[in-house]
Amino acid sequence: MQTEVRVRNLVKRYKDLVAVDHLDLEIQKGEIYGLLGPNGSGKTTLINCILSLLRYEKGEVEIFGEPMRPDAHHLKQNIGVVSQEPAVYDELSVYENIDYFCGLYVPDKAVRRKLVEEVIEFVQLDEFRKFRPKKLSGGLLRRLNLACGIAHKPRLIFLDEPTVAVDPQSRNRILEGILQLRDEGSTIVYTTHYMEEVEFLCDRISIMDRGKILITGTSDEIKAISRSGETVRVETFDLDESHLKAIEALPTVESLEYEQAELVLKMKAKTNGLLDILNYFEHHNIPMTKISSKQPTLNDVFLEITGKELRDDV
Amino acid sequence: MFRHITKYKTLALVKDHSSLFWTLFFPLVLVTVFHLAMSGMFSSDTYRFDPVTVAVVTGDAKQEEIKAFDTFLDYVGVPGTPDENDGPLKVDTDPQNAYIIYIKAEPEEARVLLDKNQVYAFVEVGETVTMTAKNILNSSNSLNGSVLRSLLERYTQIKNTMNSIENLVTSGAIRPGRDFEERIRKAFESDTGLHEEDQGTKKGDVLIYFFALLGYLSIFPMAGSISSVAELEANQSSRAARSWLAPYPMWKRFFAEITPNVVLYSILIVIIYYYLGVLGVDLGPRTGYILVLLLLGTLTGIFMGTAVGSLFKGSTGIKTALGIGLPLVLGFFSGMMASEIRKLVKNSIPFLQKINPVSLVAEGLYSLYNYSTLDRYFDIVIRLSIFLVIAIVLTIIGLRRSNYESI
Repeated sequence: MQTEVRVRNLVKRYKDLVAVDHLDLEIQKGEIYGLLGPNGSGKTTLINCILSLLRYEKGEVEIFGEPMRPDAHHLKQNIGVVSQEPAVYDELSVYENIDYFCGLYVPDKAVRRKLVEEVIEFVQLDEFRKFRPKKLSGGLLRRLNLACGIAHKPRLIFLDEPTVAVDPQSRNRILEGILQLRDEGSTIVYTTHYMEEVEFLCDRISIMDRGKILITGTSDEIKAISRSGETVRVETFDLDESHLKAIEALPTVESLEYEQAELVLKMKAKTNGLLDILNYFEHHNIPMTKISSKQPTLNDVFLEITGKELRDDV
Repeated sequence: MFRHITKYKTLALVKDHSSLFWTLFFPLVLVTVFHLAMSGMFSSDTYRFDPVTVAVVTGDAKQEEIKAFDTFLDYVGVPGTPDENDGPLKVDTDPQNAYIIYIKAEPEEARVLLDKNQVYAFVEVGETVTMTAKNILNSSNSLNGSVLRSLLERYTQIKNTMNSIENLVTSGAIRPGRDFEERIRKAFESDTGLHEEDQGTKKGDVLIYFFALLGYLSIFPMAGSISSVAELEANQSSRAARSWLAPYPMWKRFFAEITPNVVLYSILIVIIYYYLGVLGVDLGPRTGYILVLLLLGTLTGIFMGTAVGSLFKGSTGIKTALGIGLPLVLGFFSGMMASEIRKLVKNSIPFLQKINPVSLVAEGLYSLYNYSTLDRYFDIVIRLSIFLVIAIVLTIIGLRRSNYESI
């Protein structure tokens, strides 16, 4: 597997604050690599250091196997960046904005015209091509922002929280587009604090906090390290104290709570707790109105590792 | 790539209506307002400046003092005769280049002439020169008073300077060269601003406002170029960061970014010059020299902006405020709001006048208007060019940083 980005022992400080703390990572060609972490965890700083936008105190960054420097224009030629804030000209139309930013990479007019048309179709902004950004909704603006960053068909794309404050329709369109970009051969670095997005999109995920990568792996690999198992919820009215004690004593149950006719059971990791619970209720002929099971999330893993929620604005 | 960036920057500039208004219409509106405010002074009927009538009393003055004052009178005035009907002094010829119509008189005669309002004032020549006038607060008379007082002050200054030099020559402290007298004469002419060959007229005093205004409008592009630099610095906006990440060297992006400004503001200053002509403000016949100076001033203003934009940290808003405010302050010190300030700065803080680019442009225009020789003009062009080079060097230093401590 070819490594597109390699970071070694990277340290970035803002005075006393260590924003990136002796960080190592490798991103492979053709993967969607997710950087997941709460606001202020150092994701954007890390990306800016990788891109040589920011000076860093220590460490090495290689892109496409070469050291990344501010004047490494041959490397920049193959990189696309979509920032968190829409970076477009209010005075120019959708088409002009895309053409302008694409033109910074592609001097040939005919080639550029084709690329701009393709990306307009890709982000489904055709009917808005003459609109100015101020006339676009938040979601359409994000799509324009995406188009400006990827129109030149870069080999490596950095997407920094591209779906913040985006309506569901635009979000879905952006996420589908990212998968398509990966399928067309691009490598994608995707930072977000939305765990659903990384679970949906990313081939590999790194969870970041306080400038450090806490864990890296696929979504399943990361969840597998969780000490807790699934959470089972049962709506039932006929549970007395003896049943509660008996359920708690089941070998697959870690803990339980019973309030307002809802039994919430935390099952032990790597067990099939739902089956145990179903068997118990059937065996004792206890009626239930509803039962559900939820596997541990990345947020649960983050909570276990750091003692805090991954985000507070889900 | 250069053309691509320049094309879209120009397009963005033209489509940004508020910015376009500020860039194009504000200067034209300002010029129009200035012209309206001073239109009375430019009307051929109302502007005509009537020479001040003066009775000159030499009394017991020393012969050399009388001779010196006579020389002065030759430069600034024409002799007049009393009007039979007790009206103001009259002259036989048209006193078109004269500031003063004078008559030599004994002290008693002078007092009578003043009482009968046949003269505006009488002047007593001696070791010091004194001026006596009445109704000086009357608005129609106050201009006469200012002109006369100003002329007499200049005379006194020059006389004292020449006396000092004469004393030094007499004592042998200095040895005058071959062209000593010629140099003294030139100094006298340039100091009085009365010179020379048909160039000097009293309109120049009013034009000082317009010279300062043109100086200000030359430096005015500063704010626009600060905004342009903000488009280059990745720590100023996400848009600039996106452009920074493009595979294009900073200095090429800089020139591509700044070119529309240079073209636009150069055209603008030329338009303003010709617009002043349409309004009837005659800045003199040396159009070529004037335009060179204005374009040099415009370039200086643009690169002052890029220097400020690239060197100073802080938000673009603060820097843009500086870009708007600084030319105004420099314009103020150049006499754009009050011509007295120009004199005050010239006398009290001459260094400020020498480094103030608005003043340099204004003084260059003044010298073109008032002096037949170009020595002073070229001196100013050289100083302004040095200023421009410094601004370019500072810009390069500011833009040389390759990446950022924080964004």
